[in-house]
Amino acid sequence: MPTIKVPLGPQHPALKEPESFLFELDGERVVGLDVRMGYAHRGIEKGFEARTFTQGIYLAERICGICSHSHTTPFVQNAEELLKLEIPARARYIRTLVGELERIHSHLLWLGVAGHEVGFDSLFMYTWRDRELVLDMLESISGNRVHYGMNCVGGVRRDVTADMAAKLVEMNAVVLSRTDYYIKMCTAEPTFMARISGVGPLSKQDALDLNAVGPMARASGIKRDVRKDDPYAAYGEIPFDVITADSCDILGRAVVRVFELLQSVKIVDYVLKNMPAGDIKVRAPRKIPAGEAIARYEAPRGENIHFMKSNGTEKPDRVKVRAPTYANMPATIVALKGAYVADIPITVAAIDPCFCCADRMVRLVDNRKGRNDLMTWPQLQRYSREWISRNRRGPH
Amino acid sequence: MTMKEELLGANVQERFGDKLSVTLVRPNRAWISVTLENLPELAKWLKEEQGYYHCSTITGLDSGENLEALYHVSSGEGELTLRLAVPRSNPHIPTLTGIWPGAVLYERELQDMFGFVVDGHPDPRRYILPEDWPDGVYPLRKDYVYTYQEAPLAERE
Repeated sequence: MPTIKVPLGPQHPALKEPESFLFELDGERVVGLDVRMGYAHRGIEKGFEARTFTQGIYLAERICGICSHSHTTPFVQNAEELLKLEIPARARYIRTLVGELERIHSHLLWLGVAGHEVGFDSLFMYTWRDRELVLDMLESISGNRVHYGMNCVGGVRRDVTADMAAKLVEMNAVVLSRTDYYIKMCTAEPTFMARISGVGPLSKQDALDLNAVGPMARASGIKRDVRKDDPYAAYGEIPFDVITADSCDILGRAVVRVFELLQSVKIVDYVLKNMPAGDIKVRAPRKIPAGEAIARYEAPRGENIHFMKSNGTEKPDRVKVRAPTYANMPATIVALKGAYVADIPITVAAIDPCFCCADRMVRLVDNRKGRNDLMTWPQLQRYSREWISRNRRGPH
Repeated sequence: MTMKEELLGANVQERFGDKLSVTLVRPNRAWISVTLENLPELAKWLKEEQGYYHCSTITGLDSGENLEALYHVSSGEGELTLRLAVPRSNPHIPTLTGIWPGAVLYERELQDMFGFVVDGHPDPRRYILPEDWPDGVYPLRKDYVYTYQEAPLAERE
C-alpha cells in the first residue's frame, strides 16, 4: 500500500510554538519523518555580537520563556571564566535556588502538558495550580514570574532575606506534599501508566548514538547530568541524586521528571537552610579580556551549552547557544518512527520541546503550499483521544 | 581529583606523537587544534577508545581569512573541543556523522550559517534557513550586515 504524507505545522505543532513535521504514514503507523526548524529563529546569536555583555545577559534571558535562568547562568559563567572572577558563595547558592525553582515549575508545566495530551485534564489543572505556588516563590525572590533578571557578571542582583527564606521554606513544604501526589500519579495510576507505557521507545544505544540529553537520555538509562558531572554554581556542595529509568519510554520520562521534582524540592530546602552569609556580588569590569570559554548548564530539558569568544572589548565576538531541544531532535525522530498517529502528540510533548530555544534566531516563513491540508494541533489531539478510546490498549 | 581531560594529553602524545597536543585551560576543559588530515582519525579514536561518545555541538567561527569549526565533544565529565580551521575560499570539511550520528543537525546548521561545505553529509539540505533564502548569504559570517531587510512580499513575485 502506498504511504501517505501528512504535514503537521509549522503552525502550532507542539506547545503553541512553530515547528514543521512531515509524517509519512502507512495506515496508522509512522514510517518516515522529516523535521524542519527555524520558524522561531530570531537572530539572537548575531544579536549578541551587536550588544554589550550586560545587554547580552538580558538577551540571553529572552532566548526562552521558561528556562530563562538556564541561559543567563552559562552566559555569565563564561564571562566570569574569562575575567577569572571568583563569585561569592552566597551568589552561587542563590543561582542554584533560582535554577532549581525554575526546574520545578518547568517539570510541573511538562507534567500538566503531558496529562493534557493524553486527555487527562485533571492532572493538567492540578499541576498548573501548584506551579503557581512556585511562580509566587520566584516572584517573591526576583519580582518576576519567569524572566527573573537575577544574574549579573560577578554574582546575582537580589538577595534572599531571612524573612523571605523562612516563608519560602513553608511554601516549599507545600510543593513537597504535592510532589508526593504526582509521584503516586506516575507510579501507581493505572490508566495514565497504561497510556504512556511502551510509547515513544528510545533504546539506550540510540540515545547514546544520537546524543540525547536531559530526562530523555536519563529515561533511557544514561546517567548524565551536568550538575553532577561538571558541577557549577553550588551543586558541588549540595547532596542530591541523579534520577534514571530503564524503561526507555514516555512513562520513564515522566517518572524521571517527577522524581527530579522531588530532588529539586529537597535542593531548594537545603539551599534555603544552608545559605552562606556574605556579599551577593563582586564588581566586574565592563570589558572582558580576549579569550574563549565554554559553559554547560543542566536546564530542565537537559544540557544547555554556551560558547563565548571575547576580543577584549565590551561586546562579545561570538556567542553560541545549543539548547537541549535541539540536541534531542534526532532522538525524537527515532522515537516517533513506528509510532501510531495517536501517539504523536504525547511523544513530541515528552521531550518537553522548546522550539524558541532550539531555534534562537526570525524570519517568518510563509508556507505557500497546501495550507488546507495541515492538521492543527487541537485537531490532532482530538483525533488522538478518539483513536485511543476506540483502540484501548493495556489492561482495559 | 583526576580528570579525564588531564589524562588525555598523555594518551594523545602516545598515539599521535607531536602532531597533536592537548591544551588544558582549566579542569574539565581541554582543547586540541586539528587539521583536515588528522580530524577523522582523531575523532574515531576519541569515540572508540577514549569514551568521547557525545558530540555536544559544533560552533562555527569567522576569523577573517579562515572559517573555524569547533567540535565540542564530551565523555560525561568534561568538554573537549577540537578546533579545525579551513580557508574561507575553500571551506570544505568532512562529515563526522559516521562517528557521532547526533552531529547531523549541527553540520547542517554550519552549512546554513557559515557556508561550510560538509563533504559526505547524508542529508545536506537547509535546516534553519528557509528555502527562499538567497544562496551564498551566510548570516553568521562577520561580513553579513545585520540590518538586511527583505523586499516586501508583493515586490518579490
